[in-house]
Amino acid sequence: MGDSIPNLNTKKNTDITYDAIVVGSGISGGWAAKELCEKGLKVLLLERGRNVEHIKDYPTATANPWDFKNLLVPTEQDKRENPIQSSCSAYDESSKHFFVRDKEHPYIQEKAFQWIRGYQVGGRSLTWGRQCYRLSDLDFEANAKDGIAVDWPVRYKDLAPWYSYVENFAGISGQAEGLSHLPDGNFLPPMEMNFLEQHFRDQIKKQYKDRIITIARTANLTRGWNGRGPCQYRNLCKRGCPFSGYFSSNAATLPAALNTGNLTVRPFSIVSEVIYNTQTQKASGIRIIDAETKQSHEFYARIIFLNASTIGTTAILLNSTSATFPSGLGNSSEQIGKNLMDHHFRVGAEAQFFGLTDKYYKGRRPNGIYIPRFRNINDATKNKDYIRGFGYQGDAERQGWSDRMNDLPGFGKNFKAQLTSPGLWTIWMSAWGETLPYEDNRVTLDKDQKDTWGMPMVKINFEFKNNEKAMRKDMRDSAVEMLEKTGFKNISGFDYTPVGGACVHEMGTARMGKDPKTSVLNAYNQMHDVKNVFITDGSCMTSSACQNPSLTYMALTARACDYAVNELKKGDL
Amino acid sequence: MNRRKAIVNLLVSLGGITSVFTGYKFYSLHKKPHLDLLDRKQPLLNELAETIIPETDTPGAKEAGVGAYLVMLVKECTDTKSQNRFLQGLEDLEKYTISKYDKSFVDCNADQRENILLHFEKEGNPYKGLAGKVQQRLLGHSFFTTLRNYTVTAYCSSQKGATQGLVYDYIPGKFENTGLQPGQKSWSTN
Repeated sequence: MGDSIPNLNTKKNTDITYDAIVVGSGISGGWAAKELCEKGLKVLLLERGRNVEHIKDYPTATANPWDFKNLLVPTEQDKRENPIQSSCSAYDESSKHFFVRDKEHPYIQEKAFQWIRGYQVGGRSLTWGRQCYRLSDLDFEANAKDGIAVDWPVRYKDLAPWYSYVENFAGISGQAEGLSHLPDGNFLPPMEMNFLEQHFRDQIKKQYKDRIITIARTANLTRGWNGRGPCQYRNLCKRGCPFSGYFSSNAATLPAALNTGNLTVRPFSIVSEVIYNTQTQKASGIRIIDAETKQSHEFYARIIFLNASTIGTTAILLNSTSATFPSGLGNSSEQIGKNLMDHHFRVGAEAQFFGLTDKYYKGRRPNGIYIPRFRNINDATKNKDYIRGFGYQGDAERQGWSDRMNDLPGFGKNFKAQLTSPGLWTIWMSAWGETLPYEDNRVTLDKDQKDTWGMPMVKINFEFKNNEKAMRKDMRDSAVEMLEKTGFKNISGFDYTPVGGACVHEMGTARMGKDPKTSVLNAYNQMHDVKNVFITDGSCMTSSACQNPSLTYMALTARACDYAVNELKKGDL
Repeated sequence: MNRRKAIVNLLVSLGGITSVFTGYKFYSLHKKPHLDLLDRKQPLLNELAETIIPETDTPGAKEAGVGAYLVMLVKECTDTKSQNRFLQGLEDLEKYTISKYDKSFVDCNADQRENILLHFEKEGNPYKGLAGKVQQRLLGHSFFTTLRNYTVTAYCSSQKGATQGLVYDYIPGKFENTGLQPGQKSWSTN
């Protein structure tokens, strides 16, 4: 490695044997590293990208708009050279160094699929949306009740203590609401709604018996927490936070893991395969390609956690072929790569509000409001056109210059005066919907085309189907109706049919299940076929629910680490 | 008819009209624009921007350095069609100014400048609503739209504009619901 990297114990890279290897340093990999290190294991954390040290490597974190060459306006060159990454709403001049270059990391889209990636220590935990919602038994029982795919091998009671455990460390702000289908967490104080959001909340409560509006539950710290934060209300999270005001691997789990003295991080380590030992019937280690030297290296460990992100982990498994597993490690079920899911979104409504003209706000809240799922909760809320449901995220604000410049006519003094004063209140609400697992939505490897490092190229075949399409109509219409009933004007519904991957919630390609014949992982995220390999990123998800999934990955990871270390101690691994 | 379908139909019918002037028009929109010309136009761009956002009790566009930003934005952040329309628009504006007032824009007085921009604002928006949107998709943004939106973006993102023309709260520290103060300016960042 070129640079010296303080605090990362990189000198120990010559060591090749560890107690555990964790592949990937994003949200779930960071948790795996922390938990395993704190339980006393010597851990090697492999990351395919560069190192990003908390705060020091956030070059834009404190920059003003005018400090950017292009004033944060997207350039044509960027759109041309990075068409996929630049389509992500978190991508701009201030954050693009946390996204890959499309040209350097090609993949094959059998159908359009936007694979948004951040190859660096911390992964996408630097740029994530930070929304944190628990799943419930409405979600864990859904596949069994609907006869879809396979049943989850866990229920809410199995995960509840682990949700609490990860919330207590990460710090999630939110308001308890007492809903059984969106369980409350161990929350830091909630952020405050603005005047129009409060109006909307109160009116919805009057108009509807079956739904509520709550402040978004996010991994933004509303008070100092475990030496981090609090949030300074700058709303610049995607640049990395110099106040450690939100949860990322870099700010939270990796420093905790490093603190134990048990962690070695090896950046620029592209995992080519998991090495399988036929005699022990376990994985013996990991083979990597050094991204810089292109040399191959092997590392060995007693247990392996794969947290390379859903598609990344899938590619590693499919590439880890052996006599025992000719179609990929632990793939006796032939399920690996199938059932790819992403939430479908970008559908809802926006509107104007003519009141509250004497009200305003100060500070830039890094979250909005949330309307928990209200469809198909029970018989009374059953929709005849589709199964499962959706939640809304939204926010209200007064129009600023960027909203007003398209509407205000003219130019000159009067134009300037209007442009620079607060405009009407507006609201935006958009739905995030559950996507069902379909076998033919899948990730495979291309045998012929290779990337720069000689790895077979990933091929993605994904589409939203009829259940999602039927749901979208309701997602838009219900948003319009709610705004109509609560005093909004100039309401317009929208449905920008999304391409798969755009929501950056890839899930499902190595699903959990009870039966080794139809699933890849058991109830503890342990491979049915290879007992010392654990997978706790999004690929483990048996269904997608409609909640933002990262909090569930955190809880499943902490739980799997606890199980794995107990098994190790018992001598079962 | 739903909105999406309406747009498609309109595209089809406009397609018929546009095909009449395809040849030269297509070339003039898609040719490689002479962007180097822009550097020499910076003084003119500053005056145009100042006419859109003039100095009042707060700095105007010129003081905020909008001219240089406009050069950057047109060169780097603009599609080819809109770039060509912008360059053509600047040329048209210079010709129009000479023919109408027999001097260059920078030598015109405030009233004359306003009249010139009024002319180009009207010319830039022949269609309202949906037809305007379709026109924009086919032909790129009009000269005036590009000029005005970039002037606004550059001014409101510039240090002078963001901190004096608007209110800039570098590190708010907290969120508060407040009343509107007399003469309240809006926040420069969301």
